[in-house]
Amino acid sequence: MRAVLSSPFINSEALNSFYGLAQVTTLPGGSKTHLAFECLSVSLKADPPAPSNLENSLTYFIFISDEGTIYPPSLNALGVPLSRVLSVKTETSEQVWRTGLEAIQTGLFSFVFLRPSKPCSTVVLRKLQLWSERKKIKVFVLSDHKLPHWMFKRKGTLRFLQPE
Amino acid sequence: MRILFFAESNPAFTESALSLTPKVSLVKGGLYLDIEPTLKYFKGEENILLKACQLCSHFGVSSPFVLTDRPEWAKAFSNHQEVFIPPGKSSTVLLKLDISRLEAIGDPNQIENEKKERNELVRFMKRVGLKTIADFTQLSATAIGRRFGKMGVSLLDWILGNKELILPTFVPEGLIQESLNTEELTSLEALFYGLPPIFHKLESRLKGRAQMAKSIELMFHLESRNKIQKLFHLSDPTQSSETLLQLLKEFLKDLSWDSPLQSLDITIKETVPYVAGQLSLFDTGESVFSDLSQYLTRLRNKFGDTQVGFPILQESYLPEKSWAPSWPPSTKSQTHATSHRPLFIFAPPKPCHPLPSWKLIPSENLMTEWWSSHGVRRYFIAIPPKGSRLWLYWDLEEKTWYAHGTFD
Repeated sequence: MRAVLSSPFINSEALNSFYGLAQVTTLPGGSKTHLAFECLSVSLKADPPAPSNLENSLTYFIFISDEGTIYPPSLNALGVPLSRVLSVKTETSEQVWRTGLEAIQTGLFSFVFLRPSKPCSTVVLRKLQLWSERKKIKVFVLSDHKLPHWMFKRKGTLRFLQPE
Repeated sequence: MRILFFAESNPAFTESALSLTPKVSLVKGGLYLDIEPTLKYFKGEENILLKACQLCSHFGVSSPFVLTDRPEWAKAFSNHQEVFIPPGKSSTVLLKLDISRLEAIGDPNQIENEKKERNELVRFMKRVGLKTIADFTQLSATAIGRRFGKMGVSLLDWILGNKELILPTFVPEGLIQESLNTEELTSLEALFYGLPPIFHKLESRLKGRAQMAKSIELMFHLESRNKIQKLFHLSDPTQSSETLLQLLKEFLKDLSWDSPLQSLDITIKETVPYVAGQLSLFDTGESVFSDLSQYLTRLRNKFGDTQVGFPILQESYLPEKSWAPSWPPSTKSQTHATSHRPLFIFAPPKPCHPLPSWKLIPSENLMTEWWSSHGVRRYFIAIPPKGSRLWLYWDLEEKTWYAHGTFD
């Protein structure tokens, strides 16, 4: 699901009520990875604050890619605690999809970021969608490849900003 | 005292029996378990017996058990069937036994040495008309001493419980190792089917030692006399056979061997003491952390230790060396100045050919370590007219462009 807004803000309330699969693509000059982690950062700073600080809470995030890895110093600069982000580099794009599905099925992660170099089949995407909704997990697919969009069910008022 | 006795045992089964009670003795092949200290913990003798029977089936021990009040009587009750004597009734039952059972009463360490003497004594007793042990005990100690000598008096003391038998406590030694003969197995599925009993044994032995496995060595013996060795390090030590089996299955899926597999040795190389976590009703932190650890171990076995982990920052200007994957995650606050660097970097950097239409903005110059083959890198932020911004560098040694990251 992708929507472009002219507002420079991410709707944190809508983001917090969103569970499922979202594809994030890039417009010229934009950054899908930055946008996805900005969503995470906004979610972490959401109001009202958590009763305990994040270090003591049970939130974990996972980033899976076959081309490379997130650059942790830059991620740290965004305000995302590195002790909560599991970085996985797979060998093939298929493993990204499969590992992503496994990660969702474990229910251990509240945010799952997938950055595959190639698209997957409709069946895999459907499984990802069903499991992410069942487990109430936010899954971001960072890919410019054309995925079968009928899978992505638009929900609520979630809007993603793609900065120019 | 409540004694659970098995006439036949082996060190592995004895080791696993330590999970039932700490008072375990292995004497002349016979296993003596004093289960009285753990009766309350297991909520009754029947639960202990059930667990003991499960262990017997895991380790293939077919010896019938005896449950009695004193260790010196256990062997005398041992027959070809299971003997369960209620608490306080052992003495009565003992007196009803045939006089020939006198041969098995007493210190098990001495029974073998005194076998001949006892045999002759019992034959003599039968000749003089003693049929049961009760007939023997009805005689006075003086009469027994006069007729049957010191051995007779000693046996009377054992029967009446005047002597206290103290058995040496069993202490497990050496590494935990189990083997599987795979010569008759023809497929990977058959191997998977044969593995669970082995892992149940490992789990039972670990529980007996109150240890958790930290590293496991697999040794595959092939028909070609080659050996394949694999050492697993578990980020979260465990006793669970299911977890260990899952790890092995994932490893076996990617493994191929050039000749038939003859046997498989599984050795637990390193262990840590078992510490039970305190899992409360509301705080699921420990179980989540434990699950995460197991999941991470599986991923690491699949993709490698360097590809999976929680990032920890390191002191280095080189992007690829400024962090490392770690487990468990470090909660220290970490900072690093990275104003011009992207959020996603390629690993390894991709060779790239910038087009004349791209705009290149110099960002930084980096020197690699003197021992490295790559020398100086000149980094640029490349802005193509269409498409995403890239983080490129020109390698002065190789005279090649590389894309090290992307801002997309």
